[in-house]
Amino acid sequence: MDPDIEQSTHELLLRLAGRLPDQLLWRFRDWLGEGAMGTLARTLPRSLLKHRIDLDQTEYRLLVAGLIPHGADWHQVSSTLGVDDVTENRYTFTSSAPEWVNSVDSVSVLIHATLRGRPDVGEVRQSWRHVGVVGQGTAKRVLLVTALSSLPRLTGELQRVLRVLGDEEPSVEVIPPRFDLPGYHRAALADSELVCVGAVAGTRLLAA
Amino acid sequence: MVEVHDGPPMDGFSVPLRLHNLLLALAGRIDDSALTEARELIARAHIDEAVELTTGTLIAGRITVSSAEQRELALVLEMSRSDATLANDLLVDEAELVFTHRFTGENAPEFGIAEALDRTLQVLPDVRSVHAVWRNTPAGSVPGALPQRVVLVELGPEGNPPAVAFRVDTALRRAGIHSVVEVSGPGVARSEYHQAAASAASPAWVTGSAPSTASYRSEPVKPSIPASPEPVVESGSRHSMRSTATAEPVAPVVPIVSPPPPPPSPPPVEPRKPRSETRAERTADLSPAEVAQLRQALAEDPEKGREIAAGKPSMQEVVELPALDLDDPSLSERDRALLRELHAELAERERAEAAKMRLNGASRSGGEQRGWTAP
Repeated sequence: MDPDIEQSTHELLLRLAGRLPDQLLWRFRDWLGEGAMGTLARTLPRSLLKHRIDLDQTEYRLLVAGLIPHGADWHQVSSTLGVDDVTENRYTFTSSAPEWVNSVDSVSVLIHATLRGRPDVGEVRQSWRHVGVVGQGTAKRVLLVTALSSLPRLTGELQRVLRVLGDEEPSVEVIPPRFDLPGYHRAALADSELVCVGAVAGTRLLAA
Repeated sequence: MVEVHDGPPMDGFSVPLRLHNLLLALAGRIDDSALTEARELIARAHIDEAVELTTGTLIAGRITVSSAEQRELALVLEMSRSDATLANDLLVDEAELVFTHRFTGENAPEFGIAEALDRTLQVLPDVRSVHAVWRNTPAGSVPGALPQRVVLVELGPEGNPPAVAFRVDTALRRAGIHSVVEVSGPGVARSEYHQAAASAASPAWVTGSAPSTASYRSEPVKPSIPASPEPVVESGSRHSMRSTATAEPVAPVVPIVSPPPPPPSPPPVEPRKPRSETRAERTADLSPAEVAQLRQALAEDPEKGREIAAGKPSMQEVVELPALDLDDPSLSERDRALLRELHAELAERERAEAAKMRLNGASRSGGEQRGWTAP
């Protein structure tokens, strides 16, 4: 697969975090990690339209660059370009685990065991996402990872791990270096805790 | 794995039902999340999204399908106005594929299900039975946590499988019971996956007239099964995809909800003489007309049906249970299952009454004993 095409689609799916429903987003990211570009090209633009998710110009360019070469319908792709500003992040984040996570957080332990000192991986952090008031409703784990290469595959791998551990719709944000973080990720990073650090020291996740 | 295409023709099925049956065939091969989401999308009339999710999951997971399954997916994509060329990316392999899953009925997989589905089962039409089992093996390329509870729902012809799958799943989730719900209607052969699951499943809820897990058999039940008060549960039955494909489909279940109305006048055959016969004799000698009436009564009110069968016996009645006449060619398989169930019910009553008599005697003597010892 063309790395530019793959990178474009990965960045687009990163920017859709918190906007596209979780159950679609993790699935599309899994398909990207498996290289199913033709499938994404035929399904992602339609999903965006059906869920009334408008793209800004940057995101639109990523969609065109990533999926038009794989047969996406030009009419559908064109219709995704919105005019109004994209809605900013509507979630709140906390760095501390909710009460239902018992004192031994096996997910964190496993992520630590998997990613600590791993090549091409930088900082690994996690945050807890809440809808509305913190403490009411359920909190969702958001994993924030910096990586230098094979971002879609790493995303898919971590998603599979989290699913086996019981998170049906995992939120795994594998962020490339020098990435202009959307509001969702900035808010998550601002209230996150360190899980571990890979082999790439100095690749830090900093909320702008 | 069931072969939905080489088995019963799908032409008579609506598009949602075709996709539902495809999903039944894919159970155990794609992840449970995809199955559940696709079924919800079908129930919500988003067939295009459901079939795209299904096809995309197969493509990305490099999960092989038969060419017949590929054709069926392409057809459903086409009929739901999706991009049918998506099916071209499917990995087709005609080789006989064996997906072996392990199921267990231990650790109460049915726990809490009947309570969680109380309201749902009252509202949804023609639900015959609900069974539950744990699956200890992962499914698909992105499996979820294990063990996975699999809930098997058996419907009669009045039920709508996609709608029931969605509603049952919703009710169970609301109650905090995580599961994947497999809903089977009449006229579709049971897959190897479903047979294996059913053979280990525990009943969570069964109607008075519903057959038990035996109804999950893919081949017609032989008429000369040994008379047994309990439903026969096949353990470890394994059928390959090809053998399932060549097996005859299950005979459509006889509707019990809307049978022809009973004749206004009493049937001319065998006028009822409740006091001159034992309960068991009446049960075993029911005429086909009476069996039909009994089925209707059981569907409306199981207790009432049993009273008809029992002829409202008195407590003092002496009962001798004759052997069941299951070889009567005029009886259908459902009738036989019904008779076995009624026979078991009567035998149980007899045991209970006998035990009660003994217990009453014992308690009386016990009471007397206490009377003697207590000051």
